[in-house]
Formats: sequence, structure tokens, C-alpha cells
Amino acid sequence: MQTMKNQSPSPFRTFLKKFRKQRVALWSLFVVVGIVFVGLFAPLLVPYDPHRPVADQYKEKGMDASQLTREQVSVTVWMSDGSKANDSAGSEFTLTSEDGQIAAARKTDSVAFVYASGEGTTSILVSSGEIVSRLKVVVSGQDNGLPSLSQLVATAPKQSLQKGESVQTGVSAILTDGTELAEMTDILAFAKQFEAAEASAPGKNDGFASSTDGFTNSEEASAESRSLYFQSLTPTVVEVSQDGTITAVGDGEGTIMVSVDGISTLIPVAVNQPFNKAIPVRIEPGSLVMNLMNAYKHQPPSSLHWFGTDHQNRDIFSRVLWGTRETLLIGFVSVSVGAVIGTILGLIAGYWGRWIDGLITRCTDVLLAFPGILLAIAVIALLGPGITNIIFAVSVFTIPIFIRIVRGSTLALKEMTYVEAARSIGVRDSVIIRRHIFPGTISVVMVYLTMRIGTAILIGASLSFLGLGGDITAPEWGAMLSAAKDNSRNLFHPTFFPGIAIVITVLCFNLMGDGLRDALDPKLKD
Amino acid sequence: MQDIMLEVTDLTVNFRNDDTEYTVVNSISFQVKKGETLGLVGESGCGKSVTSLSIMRLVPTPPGRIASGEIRYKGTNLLSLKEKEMNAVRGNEISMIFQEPMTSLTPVFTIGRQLDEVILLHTDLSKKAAKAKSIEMLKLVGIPRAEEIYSSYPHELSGGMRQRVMIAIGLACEPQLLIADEPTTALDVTIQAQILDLMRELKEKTDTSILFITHDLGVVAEMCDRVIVMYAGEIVEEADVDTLFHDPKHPYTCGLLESIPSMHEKKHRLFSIGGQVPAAGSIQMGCRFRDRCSKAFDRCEKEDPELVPLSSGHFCRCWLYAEQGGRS
Amino acid sequence: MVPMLIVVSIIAFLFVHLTPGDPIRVLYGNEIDAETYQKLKEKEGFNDPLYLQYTRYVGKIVTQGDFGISYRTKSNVSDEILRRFSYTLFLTLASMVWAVVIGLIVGILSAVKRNSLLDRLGMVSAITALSIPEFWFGLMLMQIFAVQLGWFPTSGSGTISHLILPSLTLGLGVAAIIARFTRSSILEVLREDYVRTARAKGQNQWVIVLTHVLRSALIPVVTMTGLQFGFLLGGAVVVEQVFAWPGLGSYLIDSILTRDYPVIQALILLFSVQFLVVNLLVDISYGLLNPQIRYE
Repeated sequence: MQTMKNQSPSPFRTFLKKFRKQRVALWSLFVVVGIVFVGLFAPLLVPYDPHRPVADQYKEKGMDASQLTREQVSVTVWMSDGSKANDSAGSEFTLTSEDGQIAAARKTDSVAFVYASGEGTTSILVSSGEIVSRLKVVVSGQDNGLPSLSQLVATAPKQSLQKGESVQTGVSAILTDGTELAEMTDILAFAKQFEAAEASAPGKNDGFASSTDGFTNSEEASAESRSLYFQSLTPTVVEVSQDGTITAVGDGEGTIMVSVDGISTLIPVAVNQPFNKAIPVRIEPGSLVMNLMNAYKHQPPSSLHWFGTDHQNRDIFSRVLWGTRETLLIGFVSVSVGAVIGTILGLIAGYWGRWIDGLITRCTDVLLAFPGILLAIAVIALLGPGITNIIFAVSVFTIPIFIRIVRGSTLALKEMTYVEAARSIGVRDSVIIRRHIFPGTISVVMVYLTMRIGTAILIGASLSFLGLGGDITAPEWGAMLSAAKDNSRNLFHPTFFPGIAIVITVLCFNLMGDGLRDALDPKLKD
Repeated sequence: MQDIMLEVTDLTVNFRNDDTEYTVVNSISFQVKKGETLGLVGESGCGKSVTSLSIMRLVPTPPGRIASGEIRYKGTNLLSLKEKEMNAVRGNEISMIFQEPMTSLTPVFTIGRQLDEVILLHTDLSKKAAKAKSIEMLKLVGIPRAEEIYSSYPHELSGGMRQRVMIAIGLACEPQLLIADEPTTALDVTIQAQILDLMRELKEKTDTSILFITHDLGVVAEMCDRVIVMYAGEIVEEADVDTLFHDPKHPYTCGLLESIPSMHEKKHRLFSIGGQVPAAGSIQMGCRFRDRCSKAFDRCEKEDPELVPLSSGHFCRCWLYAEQGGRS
Repeated sequence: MVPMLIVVSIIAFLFVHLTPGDPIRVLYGNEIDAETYQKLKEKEGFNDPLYLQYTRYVGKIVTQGDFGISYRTKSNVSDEILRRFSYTLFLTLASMVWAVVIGLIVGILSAVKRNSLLDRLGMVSAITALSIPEFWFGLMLMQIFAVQLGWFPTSGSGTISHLILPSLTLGLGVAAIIARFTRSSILEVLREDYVRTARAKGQNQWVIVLTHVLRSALIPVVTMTGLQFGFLLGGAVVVEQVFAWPGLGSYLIDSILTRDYPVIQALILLFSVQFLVVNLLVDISYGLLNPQIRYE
């Protein structure tokens, strides 16, 4: 007996030797080991608690959450003589948000900040006296893609005017995307187009409806304000018509205000006397567009949250890592249970044959006639949702596959001379199965084990995606995708990352299974 | 040179296995003249089938690869033709009959369709005319009930019948050169004789040149005008059929001839050449036959023998005859 | 097939009896008093022995197509099934078209251009496709083509454009299986002697593949493709849920989540019958393709 064992080379060893040649499979094995490692040590690896919103955790981690969601506003004030205003003039401005639901602005003596408070696009008006400029704020990357007017620049008469003299002023505008509209007609056309765009998207109108608070021109925030509006602030010195013609009517210094769509600038005019001093005419925000992040929901991927956060502001990266455990648990446990039961039944059916073989084979055929997922769904339907039931369901359809392959190789091994020899000298059946037949089936069982784990993970994820996994808030890949589908339809990252985790895991198991199969027997097919 | 149909020069074919490349056919050269039947003889694995497949450019690539050499058919090098031009040669100018009649016909098509295919490819005949031609060919190769067989499937036919169909396919476009790769090996002895008779008869009718590949010297004696003996990818002896049978020079040829059972004298035991054909790539230097040769001497170990002319049309690759040839 | 049907119908029948919940209470409400309860139980036949109930259940299905009353909607299950059946049928058929077209093209190209970049790319895509969960692929397609590009509607049904994304999603896995199988099947046939014969005739390589080879190689592919219908029906359950497709699959999931056992019972039976019919059709088509089987 002993010598016989030594003569025939261990099928397991030759199999390992060949497997080492399968480069792709070997790499997959490394990745799988990595995934298992992640699964085992997930509690140590996760940067955030996957069950709670990250905003609650910033303080515990000693991070200043407000850093994330605000941005400082700096401005440059331009004077009528073309120079920059000094610092003291530069800090005297106020900020007004057009939609406080999306972003809010707050200013202390020294600094001004814009905070994200919701999601979407809005604008912040920066005003200093009569001059008003606008900057666009995009929260959570939800850009509406529309530029709006940011600043107005008017050409003032360089020299002082004679009484009764008229000059035409030119007005140009800067948009939030940086382009310049040089002609008045362009500005008018843009304002019109903007109006049309707004009319077609009534939902986005809220921003303007709520702009009444604390803004001087807001009572005119109607159709009128959408066209260029000239107003003389000193009617005793200058008069202005709506086409921009300035007429000097009295001595002294006058100012004309030009406004459109909530923003405005000033034109200083001097009549019969030189300019005394330059006045501020334009206020230029440090950035025309400000991208902010909403820290309370759906944060996009960043250095802080590699995969972003979900609809309940939980860190997706942590959840994906954590989900590895449940996924691997479903994969390993269900397939192992299926393999053990299937192998035992397969050995029995193959070795003893007769009626017990007939019975087992018949049951196997019935079970194999149905696709795995439906079988699993039927089992869940019977037992009710839950992770244990998922494991059980996946095991149920794994069993017949193992019965079939083990029975097949048992039948072949039964005819081997060494088995017949063992039988002829009266070795007990149980010993023959354990010592001589089971080792021969182990390599093929291993191949199927690996390949089925991938399938089991897929089906487990599908079941929990369908809501049959019990706890839909659990950090489990399928459940995460199900939640993302319901709560984050328009966003990419909440659906992408858990899914790619499934793909990588299953792909590695599949590639490994393919490699094992090729190493074992290139002709073996699924 | 007009009567030379096919001229193979320095043909070398390599096969790759895992990471090593083995030379299976090593720099062989021969000619087939018009109307001649040339026999290519050798044990299995000596490279004769690969040689014939090379002429058709049907060596499975990979793992095989024609490494060097020229195959000139009527002056054109077949190896330099484009695939499309080669297709015009295959089945039309040169056709081939294979060893395995049982598996060489497409099982899911009728005999008729497979015969029509080659006719339609190389002639301008209409489908109807092609069918008539096919039936005519079936009759020519001695198939009874040709119309009925025309619409049969291969699995309904016996091996001999299938080989006749193969011959019909091979000859349908009246090729100038027919390559027959062991056409009778897989058949029963009686059927073998019938097929050989058929081939000889057809050859007389059509004056086709034949490259006849076989390991059976009896068949060679019956069919061929000239014979090339191959061993381990090399030509070891070339002679006309009478010379070869009556005055074999190479020890290998002698061995082959001796191992034919004779009807007249009852030997105690049949002669056989000891040992086996060396595995491809196992011999780096010296004569490839030396390990099995009773007359081997020192020189056979160290130097490769050359193919030297012994008399007109008789060549041999053996150190025993090196001095007799023109070279010294 | 018939014994299989009987086994399945018994399992499906026992479903309602094995699962928690009293059908009488569910159907008529919890308030009814004990006397009415007994009366109703007698009337509905729940006091009869199981085998009698079973024969009545099967009899109703066979003679009237009656699958009982839904616990949830209190309406006839067969009406709802009939309404939804065509949706699932269209979805699976459209997916099969995708799967066969993509699978065959990739499989044939990979086999003919064996070991080329194209082949590697095709096979890597295939094994990746087999590792992608259908529902995620569906969500990604929806994200890209419906949400970002707006080419197709995100969900619902009614027009051809509604059908494209769900059917592509569902067909992907089967396409990969068909591609792999076609490739290996063709490669096997390409080694056959008769392919060499065809080449020796001077036939073009592509023509050989499309005639001599494909005909033989497709026989196992057809069998396998037919068996994949089961895979599709299973996948349909998931995909219908993703795209809110009003087919039998989403009906099944809804019923499971609301414990509507008569519906579950009917659907399990129906799905089983579908597989068995498909398997039968596969066997028949196998005979038509292979002359050897036809003649013997």
C-alpha cells in the first residue's frame, strides 16, 4: 500500500507546479489574498466608521469640518483712474447670497467666507456702496453650466465736461466664465438669453426670488433690471438717457450708476471742474467661480474621502472596505458548505451507485435545470430575507454542481487499479473513499470551489441588491448599490465604487479558477 | 527545364513546442518532373507529411513555420505568393489527398456540395454544370449510384468510398500535380489495391504528376518512377525505383527493404531496424541514423554527411560512399 | 419532462402550506369570528386532505389557467401574469439578440485571429463581462447613456428606446458565455482534418470558417445558447428591478418582499415550465442542425 502511494505522483503537486506557470492566475491569487486581508482587518483599515455620517466624525478625528465647505473671498477694488484701491478700501464690502439654501456668505471685520449649505449653483453678490459684482458658486460639482454677468466696466469721460455737453458712454461686461462682452448690445443680448434660459427652467428661479433681502437694487429685480439701466445719482450735475448719453446740466461732480441684472458700476463725471479724486468703480472678486463642497451629503471623491460619501454622508471607501467582509463571508461560507455537502453526496453516489446514485443524480438534475439565482430567490422567498438565508440559498444551488463533478471523478477513480487492489484485499469502503478516492477528486473540487466563489459573490450581491439581504443600510456592496440607485440617481461615485469592488473581486476569483482549471486539465470545461 | 513541374530547394520547416523550436524538415531539395510519380518514403515522424503540407502551404502555423527554402511550381516560388494567389493554385493546379478519409470530409455537408465547392471555385461552370461535372467525377473514380451518393452525407459512406470521393475532389479541376499523402494507409488491404489501381489508371488518363507519400515500400514499387527516402527530416537516398530496389546504398534504405516480408522465402523472424527515429532536435551533430546503423564508424559521430551523387540520378547521404562521389 | 413538472408543481403547491401566514386570515381579514373562519375554511377547501387540494390546484391551472388570488391586491394572479408576461418575453428575446450577435462576432473573430491582440482583448472582455454584476452594469449604462448623455430614458417601458439599455444589460453575460464557447468550439473544429481538405481545395479562410467550420461548431453553441435562456430569465429578475421594467421578475421580487405567496407560487411554476420548454426546444433544434443525429 505504502509503496503504491509513493509510485504514483501526487496529483496535487503536479497541479501546483503547473499552476505556477499561469501568470494571470498567479496575480489574481495575490489580489485575492489582498482582498481577504482587507476583509479580515477591515476594522483597522477603515478611515471612518462606515455606519455613521462623516460630518459627525470630523470632530473626533480633530479635523475642522468647516475647512471643507467654505472658501475665503478676496476682492480687488478698481478706482475710476484705473488704479487699485488700497487695502482699507478693499475690505469695505458686503456679501449677499442669491440662494441661501445653496450657499451662504458671512463676513467678519477681517475675512469673508462663502459656505456651502446645499447643493447646486448660485451666485454671491459682492457690493460696496453702489457698485455690485457677482461671483458664481458651485456646490458639490452640480454646475448648471450657465455663465452669468459678473462685473460691469463703463468708460467714463476722461476730461471734465462743459455744461450742456453730451458724451456717449461705453459699457462692457465680464462674465463668470471669464469672457468679456464689449458692446452694450452684447450685454443686452446676453441678459435676454439668460432670461429665456431661466424662464425655461422655472425650478432654478428660486435663486432670484429670494434675493430681496438686503440688496438695494432688488426691488428692481424684474424684467427691467435685465436690461441696462442708467441712473444719475446727482441729477443736478448730470443727466443720463437710457442709451447711455450723458449730458452735463450743472457744475460740480456727478456720478452715474449703470446696472444690469443685479450688478452695477459707477461713472464719475465732472462738469466745469477737474476731477477731485478717483472713486471706486469696480469690485473684482478673487475668483469668478467658486467650487464648494457640501459636507453633509454626497461629497465627491477627494483626498479626504477617496470614494466620496453617500446620501447619508457616510464614507464610501470605508463602506467598501467593510463590505469586503460580508461579501467574502457569503462567498466562502456558502461555497464551502455547498462543496462539503456536494462532495460527500457525490462520493456516496459515485462509489455505491445503485438506487442511492439514482436518487441523488435525479435530484441533482432537477436542481441544475434551474438557474442559480432563481433557485436562490425561491429559497429566500421561503425563508425570508437575511444574510444567513442568502448563504443558505447560495449553498443550495452550489451543492448539485459539486455532486455532479465529484460523482463523475469518483466513477472514474473507482475503476483505477489501485482502488480495485485495495478493495480486493478487503479494505473497508469508508477507508477506500477517504484514502484513495477523495484525494483524487480534490483538485477538481478546488477548481470549482474557486470558480463558484465568484458566482456566489455575484449572486449574493444581486440578492442584497434586490433587498433580500435583510438590512439595506448595512455596508454591503449589493445593498450599497441598491441604496445608491434609489437615492443618488444622478451621481456617479456612489454607484461606481461598490460595483467596481464587486467586479475586481469576482474577476480575480474567475481568473484564478481559469488558471487552476488550465493547470489541472486544459480540456476541462465548465 | 520545362519538364520540371515542382522544384523544392533547401526547404526547412520548424515547429515550436513551448519555448524551443525544432527543425522537423532540414534543408531538403528535390524535383518532380512532368508526368512522373515521385515516391516519398520514410517512417512516421520523418517529416514527409510536413514536406507535402509545405508545398500546399498548409503547415499549421503556429506551431509550424517554413523557416527557409524555395518551392517552385512551374518556375514560381509558391512561398512568395499572396494567400489569394495561393488559393488559386490549391485544388486547381496542385491538389492533395489526405491520409484520413474518415475525417477529411466535412460531416455536415453532402458529398455533392463538397465536390461542387472545388469546381465552382476554380472554373466558371454554373451550379448545374458543376453538379453534372461532380457526378461525372464520382463515376470516374468508380463510385456506383453516383447521383445518389451526390446527395449523401459522408458518414453514410465507407472509408474506401470516402477516399474515392477525396480523389474525385482532388482530380476535379484536372491538377498538374497531385500530392497523395498516404492515401491508402487507413484502408483495408483489398480496398487499398482498388484505390491504387484507380490512381494508376487515372494517372495514365490525365498524365498528372504525382508526389506519392507513403511508408509502404510495396506501394512504392507498384506506383512510383522515382523514390526519395527520408529519415529524421533529411533525404538520405534518392534513386529511380529499380535502382533503389535492386541496389540500395544507404544502410537505412537497406534496412527498410529487408523488413518487407517476402512471399518466397519464409524467414524465421522478420527483420526490423533496431531503435527508434530520434526525437526532433535531439541530434546536433553527425549522421542522424548512426545510433541505429550497424555500419556506423567514428566519422558518423563527428561530421554531418552530405548527399552525394553515386551515379546518374542516384544520391546517398552516408560516409560509406563519400569517396565514391564527386566530392572528397 | 412530465415527471419534472409534477415535482415542481408539488413543490410550488407546498409553498403556501410551508410558509407562515394563514391564507384565510390574509384573504378575509383578521376580524372574522371563529365560526365564519371555519365556514370559509371549509368553503375554500382548506380542510380537505393535501392531495385533494393539490389535484384541485393543478386542475384549476390546467383547465382554467387559474393560479388563485393575490394576497396583496386580492385580484386574479393570472391576469397580472398575463399582463406582465409579454414584457419579460420581449426583454429576454431582445437580450438574446444582443447576446447572440455580440457573442458570435467576438467568438468568431477571436477564433480566426487566434492569439492576436483582438483575440486577447475579446477574451479579457468576456471574462470581465462574466464578473460584472448585471445590476451594476445596468446602473452604469443608465448613468452614462441616460443620465449624462440623455440618449435613452432611465427607466420605464413602452418604446424601443426603453428596451435598449435593459436588454443590453441582460444580454452582456450571455454574450460573454457565447463568445467564449463559440471561440473554443471553432478552434476545436479548425483542427479537424476536413478544414485542411477545404483549404487544400483553395477555399478562402473566411469562407471556410463561415461554412464548413461554423456549421459544425455552432451545434454545441446552439445547445448552450438555448440553455442560457434560463440564465436570462434569472437575470431578468434583477435587471427589471434596475430599470423599473414591469415584467414578471419585478413582480416576483415585489411579491417576495410583501410575502404574496400565491403569486410566488405561480411564478415559480411558470418559470420552471419556461425552462423545461426551452430545454425541449434546444433538443429539437440540435437534431435539425446535425445530420448525423437526423439520420440515425
